[in-house]
Amino acid sequence: MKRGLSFRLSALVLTATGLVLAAVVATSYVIAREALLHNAEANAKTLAQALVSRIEAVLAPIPGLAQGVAYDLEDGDLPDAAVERQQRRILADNNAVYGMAVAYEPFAHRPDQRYYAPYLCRTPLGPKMINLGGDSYRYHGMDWYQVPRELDRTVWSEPYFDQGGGNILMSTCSLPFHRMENGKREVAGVVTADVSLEWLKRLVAGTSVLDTGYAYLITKTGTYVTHPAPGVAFNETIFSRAEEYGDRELRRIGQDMIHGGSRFVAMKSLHTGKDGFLVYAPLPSTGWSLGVFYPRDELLADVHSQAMVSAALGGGGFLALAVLVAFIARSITLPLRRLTAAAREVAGGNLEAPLPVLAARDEVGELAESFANMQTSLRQHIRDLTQATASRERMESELRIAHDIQMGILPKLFPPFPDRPEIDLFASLTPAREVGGDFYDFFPCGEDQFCFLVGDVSGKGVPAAFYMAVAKTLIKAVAESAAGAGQRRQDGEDAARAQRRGPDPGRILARAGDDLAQDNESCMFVTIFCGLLNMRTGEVRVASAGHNPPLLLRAGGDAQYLPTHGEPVAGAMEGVTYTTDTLTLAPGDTLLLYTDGVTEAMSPDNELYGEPRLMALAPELTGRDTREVCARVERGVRAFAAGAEQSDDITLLALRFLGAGANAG
Amino acid sequence: MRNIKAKHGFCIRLLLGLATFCACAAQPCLAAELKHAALVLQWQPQAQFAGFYVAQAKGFYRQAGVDMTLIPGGQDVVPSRLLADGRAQFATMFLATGIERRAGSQAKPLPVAHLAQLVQRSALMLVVRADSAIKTPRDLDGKRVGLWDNEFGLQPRALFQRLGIHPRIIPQSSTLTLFLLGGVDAASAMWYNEYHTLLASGLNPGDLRVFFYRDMDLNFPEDGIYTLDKTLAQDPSLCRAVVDASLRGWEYAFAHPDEALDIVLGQMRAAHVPVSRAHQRFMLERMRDVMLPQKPGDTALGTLTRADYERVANALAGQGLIKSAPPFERFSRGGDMPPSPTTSGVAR
Repeated sequence: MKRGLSFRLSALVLTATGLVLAAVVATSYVIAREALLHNAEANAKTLAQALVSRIEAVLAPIPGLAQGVAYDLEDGDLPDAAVERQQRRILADNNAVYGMAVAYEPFAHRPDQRYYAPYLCRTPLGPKMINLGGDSYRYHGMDWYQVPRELDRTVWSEPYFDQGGGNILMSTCSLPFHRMENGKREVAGVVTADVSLEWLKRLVAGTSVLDTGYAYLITKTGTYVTHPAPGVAFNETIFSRAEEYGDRELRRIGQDMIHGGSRFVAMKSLHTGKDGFLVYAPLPSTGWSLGVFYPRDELLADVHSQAMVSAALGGGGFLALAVLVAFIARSITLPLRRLTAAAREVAGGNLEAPLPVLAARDEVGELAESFANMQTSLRQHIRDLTQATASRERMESELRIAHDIQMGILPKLFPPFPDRPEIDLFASLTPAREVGGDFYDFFPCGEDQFCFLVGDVSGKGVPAAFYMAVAKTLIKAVAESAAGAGQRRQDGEDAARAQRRGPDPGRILARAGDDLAQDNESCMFVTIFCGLLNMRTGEVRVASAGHNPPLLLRAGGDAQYLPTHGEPVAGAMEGVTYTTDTLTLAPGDTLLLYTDGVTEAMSPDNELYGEPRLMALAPELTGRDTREVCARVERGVRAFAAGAEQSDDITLLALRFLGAGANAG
Repeated sequence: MRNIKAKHGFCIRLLLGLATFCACAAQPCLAAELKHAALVLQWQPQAQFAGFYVAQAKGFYRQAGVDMTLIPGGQDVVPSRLLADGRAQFATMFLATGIERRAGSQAKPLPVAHLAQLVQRSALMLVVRADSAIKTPRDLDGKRVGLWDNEFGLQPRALFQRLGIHPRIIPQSSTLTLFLLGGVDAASAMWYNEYHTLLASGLNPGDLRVFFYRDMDLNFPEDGIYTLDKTLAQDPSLCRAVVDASLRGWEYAFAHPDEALDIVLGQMRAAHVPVSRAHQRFMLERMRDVMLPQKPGDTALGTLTRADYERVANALAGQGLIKSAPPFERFSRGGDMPPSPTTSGVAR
């Protein structure tokens, strides 16, 4: 498909607009996202801290309760009943406390009693007092007792499954109490307060964090106390989970968490597989750590929806713009397309094709105007051309007619005198243009006399043709009148004298020249070679008015140019006389007359044919009949010119004297 | 408990052979003929006993004609005691424990018979913090050292006796909390268990320094399968069946660790003990390290060498933990069991 201007215009505008729109949407998205993430970090820390505070509110008082019992035990020998009363009161007043034990060192309560640990715990039927310890529950080696005893400080145990005690998952806050033994302060036992982890689990697990976010709690050794994934709490540590998933980052995070670190870090949740952020903070009383995971996509949901809205708005606007741009582009290019169609019609030859009329004064309007101007000029030009062509054709036709007329006035019947076998004559004229200034003529001129001539008018074309016609007619008239005069023998005159009074080439040329010179305003002239042959004797009298010397080809093989006297051309001025020379032709001699079209024929190298070349042709002309002579000379000239344009008329006239006794046959 | 008369042994073996060819069809009719037995393990369910649980779950015991009951151990479960009072016919014990029970140092001698040795290289170790002043075991003198009771105390006490040091012994619970919180300077650990627990509590290997007893000329081969002389005498083919099926279970567990872990984890969940797949995987891998030959010349699975026996027995006797060592032949009775039925080899 050809892509037009409107397509390119639309494409360019829409591409640029689309890029700008996309950049705007993307930039505003990034800015909004950064702002939201910044806020999210603060919010997340606040939420985590709030959760920590809620847990601490429950856990923080626990050690104090145990400590109170311990102080009482240290202060004096409380009766067992008093201790139990205190345990019952604490359980009654503190919902968080699941159970409470006062566990003694071996034989510390009574010398015969290895185990003594009254333990009050909640049951569905109310608090129940049991005594811990025995061969199947050797509590002195258990963490809840041993760790605070060895460390001699308050310790929150790891979450444990207490099979001998409450039979639930719990953590125990334990702290030692002391007695003075032999002046030394010795650990006498441990006071514990059990906290069920179920409430903690519910609290942390019930903390909603967006949609799929979650909170979890790990202990000082990284053990999960709560975790949304089933089978993780109390089974896995954050480190074993990191190991299982090959997540080194989680292990580093876990190490920071159990060392009381508090941070906001980007990470991928192993539970949901989502990218997000983890905020974690320690629980001061237990040393445990709370982690809250925020899925990134949900955190950014608002930004996403905002970005979607702006993208939708941008997209809608873009589509509207696309329609508008396409419409505008089409309306701009419509005149162009109409112009194109009109131009195509004009180019097809219909110059009258109507051009669209455009109201717009813009570039397209100017183009249409220029186009209309062009069409007008083109029409004018074609009209002029048609006229010029018509007039030239007329002229050419007239010239063709003139040519025919000119050729018509030249004798063309060969042999000219079939009844006179003494002579063989042939002449030809090849004009350089339609009409020319060369001519030849021959005609009987008195008894046994035969006049022949070749002429060449100055200039070329129509004027020369006219002049030639005049010259030829004049010469013939002069020659024939002279012949008539010669034949009208006056009394007492002998034949020879009459003969002398008869036609004479010199006189003919002189008289014709005078006539031509009169009223010759165009200053034209003509060169003529004129000869009179006595067909009985072979005597030839010749005169030349500035014409090329003819070539005489003797029957014996000699050839020569007839000498001339360098007499002027005829018609240039009046009163010029011409000398008549006489020569005798032996039977078989040939006289070749020609115009300068032969000798001045040009080769393609601008070389003249010249008289020597014509002379060199002489041997092969000797003894030929006149038609053959003319043909050979013409062939030679044409070969020399080798296709070069003929610049002048070529006229040849060959006369061969065959002798008085020659037979016509 | 119902004892099958010895004269029926041939029939059982015949049926066993049939069972391997048409297990499904044969099993219902075999069920009536299964011998009941119980095997008590030293500790709670974990990958340390993967082979036994796998053998049970995969039906290897049943295929061997035994209706097996596995009794998990615990802090208050002493396998030899269960053997003695007949609650179990088979038990896993440390080699040192077995010798001590047979020799009867403190309690009445118990005629335990060693059937197969599983753990050839001791996994017991002492762990101290790398940044502590304890660079060698000798530095433990006067320090607080967490030790377990019973069989776990034999090597440490032998070591302390040999080194002439007197650490302050703190009974160690089933957790390492005391060590982690700095309540003891050194803690006992099994390579396959507590050592990984420390790693899974956020400590890096570089944070710890470990002393393997096996590297201190105290390589006491550990878990082995035991019975009483009486049981062996009454039903040697039962002993053979139990040992073969157990070893088959172990080989299967090592060949299919993920399946074995699934089985072990299932047992652990049922017993309400903490379940961590990562931890159990580590344990199974270490069990492989201490059970299977690691280099040419290592003892094959199941075999107890006289040299290992004598090292442990001499150490116990030399340190007064036993009066005199029982003869190797009276103790190691694997050879008194009938040879393995060839079909069991095919079944593996």
